[in-house]
Amino acid sequence: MIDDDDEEILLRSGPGGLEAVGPLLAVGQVQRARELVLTHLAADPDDPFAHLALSRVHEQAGDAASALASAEAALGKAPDLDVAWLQRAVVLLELGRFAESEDSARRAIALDPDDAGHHGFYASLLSVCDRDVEALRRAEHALSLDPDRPWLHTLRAQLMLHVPAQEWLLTEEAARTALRLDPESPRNHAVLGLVLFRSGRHDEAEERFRAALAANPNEPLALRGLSELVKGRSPLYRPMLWFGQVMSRLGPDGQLAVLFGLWALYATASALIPAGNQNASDLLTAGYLGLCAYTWFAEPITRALLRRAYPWLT
Amino acid sequence: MPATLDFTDPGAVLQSVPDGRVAPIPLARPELLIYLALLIGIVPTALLTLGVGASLRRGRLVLQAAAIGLLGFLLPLAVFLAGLAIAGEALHVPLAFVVVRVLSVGFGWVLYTVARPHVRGHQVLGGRTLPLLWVLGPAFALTLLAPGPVVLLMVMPIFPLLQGILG
Repeated sequence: MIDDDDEEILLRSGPGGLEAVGPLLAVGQVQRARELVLTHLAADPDDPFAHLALSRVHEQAGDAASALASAEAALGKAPDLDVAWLQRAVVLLELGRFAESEDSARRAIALDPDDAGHHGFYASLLSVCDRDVEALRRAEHALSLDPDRPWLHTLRAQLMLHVPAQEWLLTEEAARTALRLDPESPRNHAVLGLVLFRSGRHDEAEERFRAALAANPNEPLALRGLSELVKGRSPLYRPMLWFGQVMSRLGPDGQLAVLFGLWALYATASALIPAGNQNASDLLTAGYLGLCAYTWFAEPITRALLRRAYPWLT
Repeated sequence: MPATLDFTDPGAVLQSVPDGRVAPIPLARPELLIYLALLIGIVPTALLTLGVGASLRRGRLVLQAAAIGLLGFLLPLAVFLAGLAIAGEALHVPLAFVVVRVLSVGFGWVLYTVARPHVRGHQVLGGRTLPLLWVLGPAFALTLLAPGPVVLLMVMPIFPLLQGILG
């Protein structure tokens, strides 16, 4: 993934004549973009930016193998061109060559360690490969270099859903910048709320969660934040809210799997009960059915618990 | 100027991640393997993983699945022999079954761990995966509707041999 800023660098930093390639690709005019780049390459076959632009054209056309060849041709002309290493990394990811993609991304970062876009792509790559904690740290580092890229804020918010809260290192300033960039985004309000919650400013956090849920009543980060607030105030609810959070993270498929798993455990435990012990058997069945009901209805139950503490929650 | 965070580059971390390869058929999602190990036992689950490895043409995954399947096949024997050594004639057979199922889930988790990077590569390259319900539904129905001896044989294919040993 290359964001708009990087694309601009790719297509505008070189000699003139390639400025139209980016807009053409953006509107799906791949053939016209290809003709433009090929014309430019015919005039100047040693221009690394033209090879790079051709790589983007191939990539957009779905021809990853040719995109890789063009990115490598650009590197042949300019081995220290960080954006060419990044483009190579992008194409290698599309080809499923994860380790090589990482190598290439790291080369781009080594050549320009202050480019937030390079770190952002590396964070995406790490996320694809289930290295969410490293990805989140990398995304946070990218944001500390340049907090004005909305896609990095989106990436970080997505990663926060998968990473335990103790691994978050985000600053309040970055969260406020995200909100400034997109004040309507419920996720940005929720992220700021979580930052405030972690610094002990619970009332301010609640306001942010409220703003997020006003825009999107199902915003998962805001619901998670509210759950954390209630868990802090009412330890009695802690196990129920924890279970609700886990179920919300699993989604419908995962909840179904939990139900099947519970059944297998129930069947196994039933076998352990001595014959004739009807009370134990009934208790086990009731427990099993209760857990099943809680799994299915975890979200409304969690919402009801939260509403007890926050009547404004719809 | 934005606030900077302490950031230490952990170095390259994806060097052991296998390259993606797409299978010609939709694959089972790896998280299913844990649940299937619990529902239908480790041997059929290992066979499914072996099929995933074969369709991806990944010899290593095939070998790993075969090895785990073999261990899973022998697992009840090991549990019952250990139980007999510890408790002797007082061995609580249903409890031994529970231990077998719990250990099967552990083996399922191992299968998940080895299969996950390969299935992810398949997905990144646009390969399809089966909806969870399409796999878990029939497995659940089988466990629920099949006669007890069939389920027992599925979960513990070594059971007839075990019966001979236990008398």
